[in-house]
Amino acid sequence: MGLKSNIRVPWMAGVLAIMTPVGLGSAQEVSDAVETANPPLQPPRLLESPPPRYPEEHVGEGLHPTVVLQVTLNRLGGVEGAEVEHGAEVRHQADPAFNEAAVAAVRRWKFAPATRDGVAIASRIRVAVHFSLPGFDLIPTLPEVQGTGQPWVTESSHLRDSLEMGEPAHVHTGKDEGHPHWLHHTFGARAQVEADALREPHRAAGDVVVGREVLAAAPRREGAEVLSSAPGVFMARGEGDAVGHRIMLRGFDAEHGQDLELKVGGLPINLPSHIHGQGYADLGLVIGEVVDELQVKEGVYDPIQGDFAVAGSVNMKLGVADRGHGWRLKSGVGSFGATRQFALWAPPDESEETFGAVQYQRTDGFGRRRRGQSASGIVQAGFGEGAWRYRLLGMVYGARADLAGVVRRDDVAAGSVGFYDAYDFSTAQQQNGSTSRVMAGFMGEYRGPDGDSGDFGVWLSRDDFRLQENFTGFVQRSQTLDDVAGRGDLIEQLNATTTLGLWGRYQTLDYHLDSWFVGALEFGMSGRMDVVEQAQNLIDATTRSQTWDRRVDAGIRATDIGFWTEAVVSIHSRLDVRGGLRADALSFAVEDRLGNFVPTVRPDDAFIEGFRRSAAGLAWGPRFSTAYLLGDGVRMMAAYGEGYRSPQARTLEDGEDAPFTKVRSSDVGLRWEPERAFGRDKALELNASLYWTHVSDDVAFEAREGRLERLGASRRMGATLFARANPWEGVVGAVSVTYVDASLLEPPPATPDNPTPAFEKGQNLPLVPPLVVRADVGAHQTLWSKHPGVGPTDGETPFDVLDGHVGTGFSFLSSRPLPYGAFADPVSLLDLSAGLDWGPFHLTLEVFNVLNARYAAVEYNFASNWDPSAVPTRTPARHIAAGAPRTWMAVLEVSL
Amino acid sequence: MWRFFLLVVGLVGCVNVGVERVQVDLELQGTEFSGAVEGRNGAQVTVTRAEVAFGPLYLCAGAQAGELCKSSLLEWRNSHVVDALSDRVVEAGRLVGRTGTARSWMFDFGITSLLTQKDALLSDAAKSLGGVSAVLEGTAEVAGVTVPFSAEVRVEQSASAEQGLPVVRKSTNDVFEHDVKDRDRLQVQFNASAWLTQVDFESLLQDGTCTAGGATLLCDEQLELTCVGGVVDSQRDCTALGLFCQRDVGCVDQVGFGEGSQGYAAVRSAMEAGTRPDFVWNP
Repeated sequence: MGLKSNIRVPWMAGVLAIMTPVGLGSAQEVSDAVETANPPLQPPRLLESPPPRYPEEHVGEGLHPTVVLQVTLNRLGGVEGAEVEHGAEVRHQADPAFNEAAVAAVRRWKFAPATRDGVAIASRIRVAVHFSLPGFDLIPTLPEVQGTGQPWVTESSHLRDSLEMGEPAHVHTGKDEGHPHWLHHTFGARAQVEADALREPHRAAGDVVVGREVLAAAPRREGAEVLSSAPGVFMARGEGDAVGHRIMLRGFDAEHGQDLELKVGGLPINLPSHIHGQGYADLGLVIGEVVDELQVKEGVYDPIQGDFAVAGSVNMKLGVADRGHGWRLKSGVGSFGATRQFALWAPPDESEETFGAVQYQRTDGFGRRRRGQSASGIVQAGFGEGAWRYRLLGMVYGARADLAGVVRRDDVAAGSVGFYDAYDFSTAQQQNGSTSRVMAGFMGEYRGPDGDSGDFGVWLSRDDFRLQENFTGFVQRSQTLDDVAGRGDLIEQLNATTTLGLWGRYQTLDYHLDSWFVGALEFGMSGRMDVVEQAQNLIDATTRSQTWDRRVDAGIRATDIGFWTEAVVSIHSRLDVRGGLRADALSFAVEDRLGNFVPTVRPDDAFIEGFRRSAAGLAWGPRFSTAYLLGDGVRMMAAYGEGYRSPQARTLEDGEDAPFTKVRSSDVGLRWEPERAFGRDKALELNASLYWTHVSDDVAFEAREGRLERLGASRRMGATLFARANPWEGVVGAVSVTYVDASLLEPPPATPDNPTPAFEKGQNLPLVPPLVVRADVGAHQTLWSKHPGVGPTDGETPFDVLDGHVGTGFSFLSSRPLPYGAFADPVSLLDLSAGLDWGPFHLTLEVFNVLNARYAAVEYNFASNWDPSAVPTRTPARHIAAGAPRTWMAVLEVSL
Repeated sequence: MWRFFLLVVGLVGCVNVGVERVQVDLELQGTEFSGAVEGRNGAQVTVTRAEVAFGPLYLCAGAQAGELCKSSLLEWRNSHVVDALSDRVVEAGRLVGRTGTARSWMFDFGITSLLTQKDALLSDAAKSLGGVSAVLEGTAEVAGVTVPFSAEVRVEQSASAEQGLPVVRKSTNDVFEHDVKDRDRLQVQFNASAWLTQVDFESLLQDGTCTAGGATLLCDEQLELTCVGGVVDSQRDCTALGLFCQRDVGCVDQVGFGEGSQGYAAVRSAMEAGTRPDFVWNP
């Protein structure tokens, strides 16, 4: 908000809410009451707490009032009512503006209901909403809530949804006059609620934060698929469950992450100079249940965005808002022998960011060579008091999967191989992948009492990757052994990356040059060192995987040190301008152990193989963004930024000024998030943006080597629409439409194979889908209640209420050009889920690809020869890796 | 919203990828000769039968076909027996591929080397010719003697380092460049007579001398001499028999170029690396 996140109300920084017992005495009395009554009650817990809007008329007056509210919650945790118990005073006068803002904010909050004997019940709590500028202020003393004698704050309030439950303070045994008869219980609790994000999440109109409610709306095959709810994203696993998804984002075929900076819990996922593709990222470690929101930056306008932020950046924020009783166990079985086991530990009395989760899943696969299994675990702990808050995060992941590889479409049409099959040859039947990764990070956030802020992180990662994959069948000949050829193009790729990284950032206090002009400065750095060992070989599947050719054997040391600074200015609380500069110094040391190897023709070389070299370079570029408040929740936004992608280290020559891929990106658009829509607060969000991106050096997949090769400069122009709505209670939906015109600006590099590649001005980039559509819709509703029309009553059991939920996800990927003049078929996928919630039991049926569309998860066009006994073909042909047919999974969840 | 959707769908339909998939008609043609061509040592060679197995054919964008042509521009993977003495144009099929500039070609004479196995693959065309690439028959007039000949030649990849590659490729001297468009027609014209110009027919007629330890069958003009222990044991007149005398073979009705003979090697070499077919593009 304000300088940090909100254009409309630049001064409003956050809210402090403290839930206290209504009409209670001292804390000691609270304790006594609990011991006396010993009720098996659990107070409500805060799930979401969007901050209030700072009244515009008071902007610049430096006010920090507190409004105390009595809030009535229904048995679903919804806010039924909010009454001002102690209003704000401005200059010793009651001021309704703050009161209204506080009530409006609290009405948008969401709670897990109070429970008694595990049964949700209605309740009433006291909430204090504190306004401060421009961040959360520390409360220096422990003032007393008027008339209660209860200290209502004990620590700083900047923690995200870290509701710290107090002891149940008081239990009424009779009806509470003036409230519905079912309102039996009031609770005391103190809450620490979300501060604004430390940094503005919306730099450009294309930036989106996709919240938990949207992420949970549609069924997902696996956790990583939450990413598909980001506008313009289509993702698919074309290379088995142990190889990262292929991701398309806003006109970029980001392959496995080359054009998309991915973070999970703030930890970078992309791996530089990976053998399988620059910026390789495998999101298999993600557990969907613990992804709290997607923070999507489309384009590169924020100086914090680093390597691989070409199309944009996505961070999966981790947290568990719905903490229930602390444990959630899930077990799912589905078609093709699929199973998934999941356990979550999220102690109710800890903050949202503290949890531990583990999952195991396996499948026999929907066709030949598609069996796989994986396991992952994520542990995160948030702790700390006062201005500093810390987070420890650990993630571990392992997977092994068979791989069907690609099949030629003409072979499928001829019936020589099935759409979901793999070729019969050993070289195809031994395709598989395995991977493992462990990551750990220690992060801290600082929110100074005067509005300055900062954060830091230190992290460590180890990734191992091995892949056996054959794209081209039988076209390779050994470059190492004389007269050895045609043993099958089973490429073995090995990669091990060990990374140590860190980052730090600090934003100064706001400098008030005048009442209408406020500015601040931000400084930051990030650094990482990657130690990479990699190899690529050809192996003979018929003879115990003998190696029959060596293509890569290298060690890489890559260091990336980035610095940035940014000035943040707010003028008249309507115009926010950000401008900064980021520079990254990258250095590489390469030990190419096959360097100077001369294939077969000169067997008696007078030197020892190997080519050691080093290179370095500096990538820098400006980042600007501006937003202007037009009216109620409508902002016009424009941004320009320059980012980079680091080179694959092995391509560098000694002393070369490392040639970075430069991306220039701009974006203009409108963002509309009215305070109220459909009769409820913050129930609508609309984003519309036009964007332009220039990439100096695009790359595309090269099947013969199974990796990325240079393509040339490119330009993308397009538009994105994103809408999120909560039109009815219990119904949430989001839809995004992304169109792009992606063109090559120069002919692709000449090769001996093709010295003058075909090129026409305006020629479209291969593999980029012009149109991507995604929709997520979810709804839940009480289906049956033993006491319809009223809330739960005494003696009610958890099984007296039956709730239902449905969800759907729809993805559309338009036909897209492939290399050599071919086109891939469009893809339309519809997923559905429906479930029942009965007490602690939750039963869900998920059906994926409901229409049983036969589609290609990935599609290529290249030359191959998959019929080794026939006249070889040499012209490019369409190849597909089949996507899954209709599958289902039944999931039983128990909350303990 | 609906109008926007239609607009977007319309825009999606305007994708330009620079190249297009094309099909090119392939026509095969021989060269009809009414007379003879001059061969080695003044031999007048008249070809009366020239059936050639042709295919597969690959056209490449690079200037050099072969290993550097990992991805061809156009290909025709079938085979066809060409009557190389007929100038009748035969439609053999279609090359399939994409637009672009074709700069080189490579093909086989019906016998294709595979990367995956030692034995070459016989095409249907080669099979119909008895497992060879070409069957050539005719006569050569040498020193007043008419020498009927026949040759069944296998032209196949023999270099182990080039296993899996077509055996006949455009040389750097050949002129070949064409911007391929859909429905182009490519005519491949063969001149079989030229493949025989390096055959040394005269050597087939060389006289021999009867010596101990020497050949047992010798020619003296058109007399066939049988040598036993260095002495002529018997003789017969080949001409009188309607035959002619071939060195070291004796009276034969025609010369058969066996594998290892100069004639066989000369024809094979000519087919593989000598006179190339003409590639003619027609719109």
